[in-house]
Amino acid sequence: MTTYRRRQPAPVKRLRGAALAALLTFLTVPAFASDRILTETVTLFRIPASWLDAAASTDADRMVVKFDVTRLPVLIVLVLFGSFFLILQMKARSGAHLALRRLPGIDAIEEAIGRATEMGRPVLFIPGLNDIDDIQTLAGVSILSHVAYIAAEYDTPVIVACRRSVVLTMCEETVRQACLAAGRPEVFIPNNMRYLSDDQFAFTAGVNGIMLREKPASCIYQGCFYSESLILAETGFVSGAIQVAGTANISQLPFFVAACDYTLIGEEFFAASAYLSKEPSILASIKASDWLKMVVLPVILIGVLLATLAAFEPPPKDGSPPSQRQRAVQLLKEVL
Amino acid sequence: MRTLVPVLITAFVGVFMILKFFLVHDGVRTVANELEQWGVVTLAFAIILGVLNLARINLKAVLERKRDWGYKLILLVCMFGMMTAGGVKWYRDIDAARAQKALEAAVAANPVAEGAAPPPAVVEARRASEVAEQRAKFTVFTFIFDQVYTPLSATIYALLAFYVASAAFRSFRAKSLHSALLLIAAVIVMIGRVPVGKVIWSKFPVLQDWIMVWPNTAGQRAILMGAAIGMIATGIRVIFGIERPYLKG
Repeated sequence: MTTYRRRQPAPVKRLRGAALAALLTFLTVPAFASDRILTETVTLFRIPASWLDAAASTDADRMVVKFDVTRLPVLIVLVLFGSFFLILQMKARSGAHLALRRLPGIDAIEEAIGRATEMGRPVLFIPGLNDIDDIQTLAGVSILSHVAYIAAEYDTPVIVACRRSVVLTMCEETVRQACLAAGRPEVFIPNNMRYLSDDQFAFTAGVNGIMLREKPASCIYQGCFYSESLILAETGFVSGAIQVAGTANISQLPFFVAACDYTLIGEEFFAASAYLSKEPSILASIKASDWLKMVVLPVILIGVLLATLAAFEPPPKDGSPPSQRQRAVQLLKEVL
Repeated sequence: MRTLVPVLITAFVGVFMILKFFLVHDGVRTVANELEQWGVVTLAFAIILGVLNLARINLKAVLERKRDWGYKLILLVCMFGMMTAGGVKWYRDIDAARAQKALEAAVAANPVAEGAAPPPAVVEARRASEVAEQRAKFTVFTFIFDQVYTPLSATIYALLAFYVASAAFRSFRAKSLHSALLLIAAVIVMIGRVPVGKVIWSKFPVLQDWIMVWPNTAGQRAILMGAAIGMIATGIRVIFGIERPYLKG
């Protein structure tokens, strides 16, 4: 006789897995910690003297490869993320559906391009102020690829304003490729790919000029922005454009939230390209980061609990070692 | 091959930089620093691409007398004018350095006894060095940078004050519960941060301090953690070639 086990719903399983991983993290970290808690290096391996020349083999520092224990939490996060990613990628390849919650800010991008098409005006895209060595710029360019594709389908020109010339080259190729992919290579206008200035406020003045003279119907800011964020967003508002912003710079988020119609906040901004591309492996990485958050969450809760308890303890006297609870709080502070 | 080679290079360099982050070893650090230097130099050279793009787009617009071509002409004149002024300054800097070296050589070749007048060759070299230094100090480039560029830059930045006011005016309308909460928090923080707030109610500074230190910091850290995990995910996607924004061409 066949017995059927009741399958647990996916969120319960996920929570159980995340809790287990959090517990493991919590138990593993103290194992590496000494009295000075995460402030040491440990020797990983010694390089054989025969591998180095005579001068180098006398230098003790060059003979030993050490691991920086202060960076252990980052390694744990990387390993956890990598494991989750591999599991989810296998699931995605086997045909499982990886659902992502709806992000109104990303849906608004298509709406913004549609509005520009209806009004017969261009879309202005700014991939942030930093160079390609900033991960936010790369995320911004990924979003540009989708924006340019949709705009090409609607036969709407996209103006891209760049502060860095390497970013300009990358954006130019991205838009060209998107137009080709959409089957509309004639929509690509090289003169709409514009380098303005390497200087922050000269660039801002240039973008403001484009907004006021060419009146784009939609302004999309995706990348790293600094104090010019509000100047750009307010000028866009004055010009009557629908505005969608996305950045991971916390100090600039309030400005974008105040002045733009939609804002992709922090992680949403990084998830945007995956959300738009719908590629299984990229979706898997977004789900993996969600799982990672489920791991971090219990650690934070334990930390809050311990910190609250430690606050009620009398401070250690001079020379006496801190209590176990205070040590645990200190450790969690360093981990987080 | 066109895709594979850049992906392999990215993966190799990316993994190496991750290793550098975790490992403490002179060799690893030296190679990583060298790679970073290559990146900086390559990016610096790319400015030429920007100048060419700027010249191409604006020159075309001026020649075809397109709309707003006057602005583009001003931009081109300023750009090439500043380049020329920069070239002149560069030449004068070299000239000043050369004069300084000549002075040092003259001093070395003509030793002077203590209290004695310096020989004419030294006097002449010193005068030439001073003139060259003055010429290098006061150039058209320096004048435009100090008297035109810096004030203009500050002007654009100063616009922020007016934009903050207009954005705040729009945001602080209690249309929903969330915006009402925002309005209340903002009013408390604003009043608590000005001296008159303490006069109105002595607890305003304490209340604003509590809002900034606790709820505000908690919210910011939550966003920061989410963004950090997002960055890790994006970084890994880029390093292992799952997402290739740098290869769109």
